[in-house]
Amino acid sequence: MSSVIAIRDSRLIAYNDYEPVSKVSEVLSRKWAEEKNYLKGSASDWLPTVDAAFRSIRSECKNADWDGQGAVAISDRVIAVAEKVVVALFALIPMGTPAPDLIPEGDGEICISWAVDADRLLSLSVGAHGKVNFAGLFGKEGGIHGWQPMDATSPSTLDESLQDVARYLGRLYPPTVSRRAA
Amino acid sequence: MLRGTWGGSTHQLSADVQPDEVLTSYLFRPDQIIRVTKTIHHSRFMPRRKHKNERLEVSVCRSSTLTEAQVWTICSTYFDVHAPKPAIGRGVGPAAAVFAEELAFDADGIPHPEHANIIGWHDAVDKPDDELKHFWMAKAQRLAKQFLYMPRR
Repeated sequence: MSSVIAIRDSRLIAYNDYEPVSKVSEVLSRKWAEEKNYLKGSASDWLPTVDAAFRSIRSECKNADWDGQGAVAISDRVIAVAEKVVVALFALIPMGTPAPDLIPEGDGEICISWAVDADRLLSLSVGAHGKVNFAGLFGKEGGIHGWQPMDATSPSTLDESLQDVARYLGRLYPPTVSRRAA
Repeated sequence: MLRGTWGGSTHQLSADVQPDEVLTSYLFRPDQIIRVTKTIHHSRFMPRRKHKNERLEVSVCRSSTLTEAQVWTICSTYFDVHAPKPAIGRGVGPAAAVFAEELAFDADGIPHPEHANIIGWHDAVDKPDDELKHFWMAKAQRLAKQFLYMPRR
């Protein structure tokens, strides 16, 4: 079960309308996503930024009450899930999308956030419970929020779980000529 | 014990928070600032339960009647002593933004007279918090974008 709520008028931009119908086509779909982003080189574009953020969270939020306000400790397991999500999204989203901000949360989860401006934001919250909560604002197009199951046991199941989120991120940073050339 | 340290501002606060009041949320982590917007991240407005099954709330400081020095005296006395590092700055925004989200205040005045909790967050006893969190994220996002970041002086 999952839940997505659109606030006001919500217009989805579909930039990936290929839906795999078999295991082979799932592989093809993944390859296509990877090839589509080949100009980015490798995940190294994001890695220095996100690695530093994960290191900071790991060292500063590993104990309960890390914020002095009763925060739940952020476990290695939660960090591992968040790392997998970031890597998976990197392969799914349009080229040139900036690295996300990673923010530790008081409930022991990690928030993965992008902000274009005050009215165009997307945040995901991931923990070790197999769900992703998300909320986004898309300017005049309105906003969305919801949750959905997330299976991080393999790259392909994780990719599948994050397809909707990747589409929302594509609304925030739509593919452009300059971004394609980035 | 701490309550006696800060006696409150010289101005009288109304019992209820008014829409034209200014609120402060203290930050101690740089990642709680959104650089491109110079506002604070919504994680500062994610509600928590003090104990399991208790009401959801977010702690804020009513700062309309305070001088800058008084704002930071409160921070040093009540926030910094618990946080792992001193606050680096604060988010400043209107109480009206809270009412606009159909949230409310409990101006409990504890542990200092200017303290209030934002309450009225969506809750459902038959659902786990990890299926409710997106409701809080959506409201916290719209709230936080109205809270400008001001570094500590």
